[in-house]
Amino acid sequence: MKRRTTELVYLIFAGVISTMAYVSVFTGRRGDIKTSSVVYGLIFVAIFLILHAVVRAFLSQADPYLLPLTALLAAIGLTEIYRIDPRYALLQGQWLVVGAVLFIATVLLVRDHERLDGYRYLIGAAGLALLLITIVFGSTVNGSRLWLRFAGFSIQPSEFAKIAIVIFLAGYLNDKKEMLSIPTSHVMGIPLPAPKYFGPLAVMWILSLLMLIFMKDFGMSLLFLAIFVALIYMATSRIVYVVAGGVMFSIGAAVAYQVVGHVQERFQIWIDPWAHAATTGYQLLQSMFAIADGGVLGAGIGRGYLLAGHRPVVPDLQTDFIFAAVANELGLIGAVGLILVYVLFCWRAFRVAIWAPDGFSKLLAAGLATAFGLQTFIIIGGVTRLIPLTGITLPFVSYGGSSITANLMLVALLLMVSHRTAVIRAGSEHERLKLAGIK
Amino acid sequence: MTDVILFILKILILALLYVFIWLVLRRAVGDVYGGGGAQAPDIASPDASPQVAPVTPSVRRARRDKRAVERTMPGEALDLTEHINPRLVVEESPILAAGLVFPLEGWVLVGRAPSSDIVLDEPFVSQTHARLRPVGQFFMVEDLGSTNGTFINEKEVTEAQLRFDSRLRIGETIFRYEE
Repeated sequence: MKRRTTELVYLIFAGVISTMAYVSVFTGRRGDIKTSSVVYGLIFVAIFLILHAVVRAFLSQADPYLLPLTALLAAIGLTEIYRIDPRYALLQGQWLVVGAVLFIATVLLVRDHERLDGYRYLIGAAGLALLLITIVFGSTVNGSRLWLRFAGFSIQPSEFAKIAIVIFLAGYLNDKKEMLSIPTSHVMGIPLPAPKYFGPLAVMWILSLLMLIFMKDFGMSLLFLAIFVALIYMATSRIVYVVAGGVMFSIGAAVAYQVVGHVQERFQIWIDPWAHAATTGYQLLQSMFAIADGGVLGAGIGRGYLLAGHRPVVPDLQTDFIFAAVANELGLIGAVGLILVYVLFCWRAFRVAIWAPDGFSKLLAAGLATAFGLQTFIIIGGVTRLIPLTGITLPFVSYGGSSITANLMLVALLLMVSHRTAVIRAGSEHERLKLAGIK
Repeated sequence: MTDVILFILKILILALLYVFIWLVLRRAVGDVYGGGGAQAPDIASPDASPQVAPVTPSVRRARRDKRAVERTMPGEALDLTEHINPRLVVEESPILAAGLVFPLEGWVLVGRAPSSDIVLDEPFVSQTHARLRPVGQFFMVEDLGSTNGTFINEKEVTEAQLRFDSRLRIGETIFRYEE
């Protein structure tokens, strides 16, 4: 099968699963069926078919699995959101359209991701600016200052900043990786590279710690630092950066714990949510009850006990806690399935990186894959009380406009890298065929 | 009634979810380790890649008969090197066209290094990965301490004889040995 045919077949497969999930929600609601609701399902399939057509036209050699995996995640998310509150589903559907437009715009305007490397400092500065604006003008929701409100919209700039900073780091580290792997001076026996090259990286480092203190958000700051450490490790293959990153983050986290009450609170409810069952620990406990209530096979989509009256039993169920809703309705089996879909997505993304022919493409794809995978880990880990809870979205599944649009752009970039890889390899094959004879 | 429908739907959704995962997993993981999923680019290569006719049982029989005749020739030591045509045929590869033929003669080095006799520019291939070496009329394959190993019929080998129709896998490329 050709790549695009494979993609189309799997997209239709994802469409079938999504339709069945919708039918399940409608049947569960009984008299609550409206024809307009069925339209959601059709629009959903149409959006992904349009994206498929764009990929077919412009990125014909791109990886065939990333888009269907995205569609499956979005389908699971949209049905769960619809099931929790149809109004959010309508908004999420609109955001999906915006995301699709940005996906197409990314493909059409960028075409070749190598071009982004030329604007690396501009893109890096834009990412930094987005974060600084949020720190200064942002509004605080649930104790974290991650939101920017204007003209009736609230966006989460950190989702976009994440991509911008990966692009910057990939370009910068690819250029300077040799310099960064050779230590030129020693401070207290620790080898350090020349400060000239290390400067921009130190800025990143400090920024992620500032985020922890000023945004009061453990998750985003952990995500940025981890992306940074992972990329620098991939570029230089020096484990010292990973160790140093871990130590710095631990120190930062310890300081933040003392200074920021919000971080302290999150940490305490992670250790013992029952001590604060009626107050701060309520949300996490409700989430754990919802997950436990799902059992092995789950209650069935549309049948879980997720709403008390019209209010979700877990506050923020449609955004940060969507994983609890999925685990409740599809059970352990479904929740593990969802995680496997994420694993497959990361697998494909890292494969794109492994095969990419040049350093910038490799680091870009690997950085995006790391960002995606880590974000998923941080929020699922938080909701299941594996790590302290932190408010970031589950990519493609959670309700959230910024998240879904930014992550669709991330997919567009990964597809671009894989397309270019295949084209270049096909070109070099032509060369190789001529030289391939023995001796 | 609704409960029954919902139960069936639930099981169906879960089953389909796992069928989807299984299908992608089979292809996607195979893609990295070889074993069936590797896909050459769809773009037609500018040169038509040389194709060899598949060895059919009748061809094989004809060869065997020919050799049997040669064996009965009086006086001569049994040396068939003149009469065999050892070669590797690309069966599956993400970078080489399937059906591409590499005739084997003398020592043949396989690796990612441009100086190799068969250059495999793949992430899972070492610079000098394996060597093919004639021993009498046979060919031996020898792993040169590669990172990801050399496989014959999906069994890792350090040194082994190539037999007719065995599959030699290096990285994600699978060759078929013919003589």
